Amino acid sequence: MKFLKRLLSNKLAVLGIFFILIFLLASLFAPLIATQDYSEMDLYNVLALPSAEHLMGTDEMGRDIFSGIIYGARTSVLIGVSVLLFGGLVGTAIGILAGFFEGKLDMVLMRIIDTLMAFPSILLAMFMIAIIGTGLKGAIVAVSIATVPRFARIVRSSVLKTKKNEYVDACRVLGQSNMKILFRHILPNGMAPIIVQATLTFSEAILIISGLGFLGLGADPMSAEWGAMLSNARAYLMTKPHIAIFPGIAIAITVLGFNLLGDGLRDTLDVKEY
Amino acid sequence: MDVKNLHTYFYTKAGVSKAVNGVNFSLREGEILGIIGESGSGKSVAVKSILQIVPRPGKIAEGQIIYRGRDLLADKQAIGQVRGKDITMIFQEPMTSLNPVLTIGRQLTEGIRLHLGLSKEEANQRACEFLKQVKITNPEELLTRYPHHLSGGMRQRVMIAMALATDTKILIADEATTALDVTIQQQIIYLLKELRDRLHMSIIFITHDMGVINEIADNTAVMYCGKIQEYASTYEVMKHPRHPYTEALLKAIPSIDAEQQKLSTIPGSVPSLLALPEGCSFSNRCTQCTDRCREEEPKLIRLEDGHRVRCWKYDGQGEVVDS
Amino acid sequence: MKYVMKRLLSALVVVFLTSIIVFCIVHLIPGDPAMVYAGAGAKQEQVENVRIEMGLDKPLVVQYIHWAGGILQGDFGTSLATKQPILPVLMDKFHNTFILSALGIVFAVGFGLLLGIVSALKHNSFIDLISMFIAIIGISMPIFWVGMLLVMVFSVQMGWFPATGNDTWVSYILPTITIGMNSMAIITRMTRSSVLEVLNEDYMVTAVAKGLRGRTVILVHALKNAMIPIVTTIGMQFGYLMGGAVLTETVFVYPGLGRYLVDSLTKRDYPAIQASILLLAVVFVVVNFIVDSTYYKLDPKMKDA
Repeated sequence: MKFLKRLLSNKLAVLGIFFILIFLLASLFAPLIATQDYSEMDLYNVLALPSAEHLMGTDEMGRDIFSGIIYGARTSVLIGVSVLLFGGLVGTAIGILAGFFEGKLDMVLMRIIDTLMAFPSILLAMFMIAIIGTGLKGAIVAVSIATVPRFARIVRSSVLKTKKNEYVDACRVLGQSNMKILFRHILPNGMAPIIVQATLTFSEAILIISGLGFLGLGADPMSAEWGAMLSNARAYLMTKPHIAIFPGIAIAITVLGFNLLGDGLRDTLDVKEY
Repeated sequence: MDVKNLHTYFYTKAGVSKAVNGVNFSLREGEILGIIGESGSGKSVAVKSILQIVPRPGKIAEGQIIYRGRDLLADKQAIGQVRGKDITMIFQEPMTSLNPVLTIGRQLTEGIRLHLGLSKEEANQRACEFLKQVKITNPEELLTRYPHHLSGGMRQRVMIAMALATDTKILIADEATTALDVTIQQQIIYLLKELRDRLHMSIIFITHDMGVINEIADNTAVMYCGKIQEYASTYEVMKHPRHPYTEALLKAIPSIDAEQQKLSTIPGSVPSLLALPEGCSFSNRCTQCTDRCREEEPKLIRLEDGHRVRCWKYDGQGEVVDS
Repeated sequence: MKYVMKRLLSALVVVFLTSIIVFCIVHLIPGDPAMVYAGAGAKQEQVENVRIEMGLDKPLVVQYIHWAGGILQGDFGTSLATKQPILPVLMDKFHNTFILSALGIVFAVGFGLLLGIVSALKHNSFIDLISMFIAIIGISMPIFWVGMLLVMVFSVQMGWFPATGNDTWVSYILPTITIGMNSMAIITRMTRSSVLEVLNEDYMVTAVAKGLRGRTVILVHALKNAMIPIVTTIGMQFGYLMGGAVLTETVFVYPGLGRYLVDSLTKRDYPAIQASILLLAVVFVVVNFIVDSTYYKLDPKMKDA
């Protein structure tokens, strides 16, 4: 509770939470909020400017941009959650193995992780796409794999640091099993950096996948995904800038929300590295 | 040097914390003045105020620091000429007080070159000279090394050499031996006393350790809650403490020869500087506290033998020297 | 020196491992590599020809040695899409991307260091607030969208800069800002926190107590320490910049390596994909090696390690 109070006293973090709430509400109640189905095309009314009927106008296929953005929030939640589930869990598992057991296993795992870390996530993702193929599913898997190294690193250093505490030695002396020490003592106490990393991963996943969508390597241009919505907008920058503006704002606000929350959490939980 | 009515406050969100709240003392040439107090007593802030290096959000609110006829607090030029030259300082943590990415030579000579206007070679020579003074046997070699090559004791010697090499008149040692092993602590104390005799300088020595004070200081000031509570020759303070706080501090020292059975502790804890008690700041922990102590703040009184004490017990027995 | 040799060795190992993984791409994708090379709709006979022609019938180790040997001699193979040798095109694209990334990192480092240092020194001031605002926005906006906004405002509305191309120096301005924006934001944040941390160190008090001039205290005592983590960040950012170049290149229709990689990905032009990924990987390794070596120069503790 004290933690929550301190977090809420950070104005920027509160702003972040506010943005995230909007984002979550939009995705939760998408069918209620959206004015129409995004896949519905109105070919007589393409590239329309914002109006009462189409709050943010329509795109080059006459689809309602506002509805696309609302449904796009759903896609983004799906992206963030799946990347966190895949990448976060695998990364955490590797980090625990390396940090808790140390020794040779640690050395080999960290060598691989360090090598992967040297590459920017988007390039790793593109590399994975070369194997898996394009599409939203491929992009999610690719980005998940690309987030594994950083998670592993952070979890490992967190475990290593927490392990040095005397209460862990005390548990050893008391004869507790490795598993019990790990899950009862080390993980709960080393959670702070992992939480911060999870928040930042969520925003990074949205950014990278929107980038892949923009390049045509991610989500199908027909689907409601913010990056994909922008992929065709380039052609209309001269004449119809509203197509590019609204989905961009949606991405920026959502990512900003998670980044602000991440910063706030980092300060509140007093995490040094990220 | 005379410190008069010094007030240094910390302006925090929670309120104004009066870390130093009216401190007066003088330092004669060649004197070693010990200032003792618990952590948070304001002793360290008081001496940092002399060099005007109080960390933010601390600010010197009031007072005068007269050095050779000039007020360092009012005269911007004076402090610029004196800081790091006539008055220098060494710190508690020798491990972190030296810059890790600069060589010992660079750190030793930059002050010498700036303040004495020497060339690089001359400064190096002078640095070696002073490293020898602090009993370092291989000064030339040391100049090219980095702090992490040195032990804590060695680093503190380097700090001392650095502080002395600018023709220093007053050396301020802020808990300079606290972080060191006991044997190294002894060596540094003897070194400081020897250097005082040889170089005719004054030292202000701050510590929370009565034993250290006893060994090094000519005169001792006892600080509590931003004020000097007792001030006399070290012998007087140790043998005939007048203030109940000093008495309590002395009783808390373990002793080998005395037939003391139980080590006493001072009950309670230092009050928050944001909410000082109404009367005497020690009243909440004092065993001899009276109603008057809780209501009215005592003044510093000079007793007939020159011993100064801030306690109502001695009301009327001497002359009031400050509020 | 031992440290540098160790880094060099590990860099070579990374290049070797990457080359193996890159080589395996074609064998990892589902289906028959010979069919991939022969292209969709190829007859069985053609596929067999390709298999023999490209040595795909030989053991993997032999194939790898053949492929890697070719690359070491500058032979990156032939593009499936254009049937032309890859190397000249690759070098041309790489050259373009390198120039854009270099401009971007100069922009990012220049502004990032400046904003970061100023906001640390004027902690909690108005300037600090503004630069922190710019920085958080900078890391939150998708860079391709930044590029589109810049085009909308400065090309379409103002007409100051061209929206595409790389023929004149003015045409580099918007892409440089776009590609450098994110790194600038990260460097600003990193510099600020690093300088702030250093300012709290005991040795800074020592430096001030020595009576040194303000400039010496900041430039020598503070920045020399603060630079150690900043240099690492800058190095990593240069790598990331080249990796992320693809987005900027797409927005500005700039003929760079990233764009080439994406085009190859969409056309499933595997030799070209392999070549560009390998080249980018080598660049990262080289950049990282340089950064590590600089780090070694900056931090005296590393010299003993």
